[in-house]
Amino acid sequence: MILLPSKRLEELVSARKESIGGEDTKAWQRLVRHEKTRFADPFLALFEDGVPAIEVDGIDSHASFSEWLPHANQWAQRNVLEPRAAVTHAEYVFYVAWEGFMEKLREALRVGRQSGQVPGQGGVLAFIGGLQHCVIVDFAFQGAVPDLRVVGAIESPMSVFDFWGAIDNADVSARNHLKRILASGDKLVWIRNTLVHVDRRHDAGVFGPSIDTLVLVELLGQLVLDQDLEVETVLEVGCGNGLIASTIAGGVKDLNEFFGIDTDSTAIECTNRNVSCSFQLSRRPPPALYLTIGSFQRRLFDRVFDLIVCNPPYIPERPGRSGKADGVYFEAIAGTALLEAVMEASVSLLAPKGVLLLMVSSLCLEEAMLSVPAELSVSRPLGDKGFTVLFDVEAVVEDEKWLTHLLDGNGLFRKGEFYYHDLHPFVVERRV
Amino acid sequence: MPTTCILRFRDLVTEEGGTISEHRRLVTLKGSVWWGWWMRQYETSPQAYFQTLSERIVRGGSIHIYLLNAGEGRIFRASLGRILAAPFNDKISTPDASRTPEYYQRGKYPAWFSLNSIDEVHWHDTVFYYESFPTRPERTDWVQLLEQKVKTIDQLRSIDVTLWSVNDLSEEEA
Repeated sequence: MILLPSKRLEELVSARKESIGGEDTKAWQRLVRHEKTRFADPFLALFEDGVPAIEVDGIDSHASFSEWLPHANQWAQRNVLEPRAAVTHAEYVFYVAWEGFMEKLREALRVGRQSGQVPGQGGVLAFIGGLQHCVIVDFAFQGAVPDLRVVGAIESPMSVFDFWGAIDNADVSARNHLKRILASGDKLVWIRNTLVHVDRRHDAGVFGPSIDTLVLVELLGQLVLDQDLEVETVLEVGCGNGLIASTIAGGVKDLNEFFGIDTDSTAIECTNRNVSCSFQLSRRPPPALYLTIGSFQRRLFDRVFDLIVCNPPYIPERPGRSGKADGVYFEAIAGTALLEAVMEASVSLLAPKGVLLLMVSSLCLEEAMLSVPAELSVSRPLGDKGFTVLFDVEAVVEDEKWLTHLLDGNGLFRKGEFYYHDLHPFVVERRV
Repeated sequence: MPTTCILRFRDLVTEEGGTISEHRRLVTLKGSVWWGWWMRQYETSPQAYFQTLSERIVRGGSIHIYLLNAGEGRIFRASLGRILAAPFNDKISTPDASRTPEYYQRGKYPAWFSLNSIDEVHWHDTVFYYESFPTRPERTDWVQLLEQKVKTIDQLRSIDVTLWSVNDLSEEEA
């Protein structure tokens, strides 16, 4: 779970306490439905040290929360909305968070459908609670609004499509829903009131959203959006499917200009579609949007940025390979050249109080630390531990020499039949 | 005497007769439809009253309520299978969009009623006596109406509520 102190979290925790034990029983309700929390995650305020901080019937331990989630709607109807139920304030606090989440998801799907992005039925992977839970939601449009059904939940997902365990534990109906989602050509991911759609048939070469993108989005949420930081100009290097761009487009209220660059034209097209949906959902006038197809070069940009975001390739090159990696795919996954280029360019591209949010992995942590220019300072919001995720890059796993090299004290480790690495996102700022 | 409620509505966003026809269409298609009950700003959501109705539904399987089109002066009898109500004077979205007319799938209301049938009745075939005004507990001046027969639709709709609790003697005194 990613849980960092922020202004918004403090407000939510205070409102929760006021609603449950204090005098203002509607404090939580008002705050969760306020415009300023549209891109916040109220579930963050319902946990303390990873354990639910409120008593809700059926949720009595951290371990059972994910098992309970598919039954949340029935619980709501039976324990909260049924006039004969004696609902407590604590239960109502949880209900408001849950209902708010379902409503945001429903609205995002509705806007996506209206824009022609979202199919008539399918499944969404929704990440809540600082990536503590992935809620698998099946949807089917009945008119303009989709019906939602939670078919499973995964606790502490280590990859975006890590729901094989959920299939095993699901009942027959839920299992069929999950299989349908897996077989679908539409990949839909929701986090912090941002929905992105990747069409596997049309956007075949577009990466993700992968778990490292989600970690970056969650950090963006907690470090930027939840802190109400003033951000007017943003640059994203390597937009991919557009999840980060869409979160920024929807969630940053003072945004004037967004610049995005990617070498893949399909990725830029995918980003444009998803960002457009995000603008519609935000109900604000859209800022200027500049999307470029090409390689990142410092000289392309004649301004400074309040925020730069980059989820670069971070897998060190295959040993024994000299020169540039072959093919666009290998260029995208191998080598740390882009990471180093963005770091260097940030010296001149960052505004005086600007921030670079850069994804780094245990696979290249040392190289990344060495590439930090003297003018910049680095902090690691997830500490030395980082965030452990599944490593499932086939091109590497199927290459024995490459795999062995990474396993040999180079940041990759094995548990059972799977491989893992730790994400160590950097927050880079100008040295004072 | 069997107590029931009358819910007020008007065809504000649909064509004339559209509210009922849209709900009936879903009853035919899906077997039941969710009816969103709206209330005026000065009304209070009557949780205790809804609890009583719910208990009767649990005992008997369903009960009959009435829907009054205050604009056209038409009344309908509906079979009520379930009530879901927002506690703490809140509002909630429909429990099931697939069983809710499209024009208000995105709306939020203090309570939703699941109806299994909707049939028009003629006013002169109904016999109601005022039982209470659960959404306006502060209107103690209305106590004089209690146990009085509801004389006309005009009298009914002149009382500024969106929900009347009545004793229904339509079958006994028909």
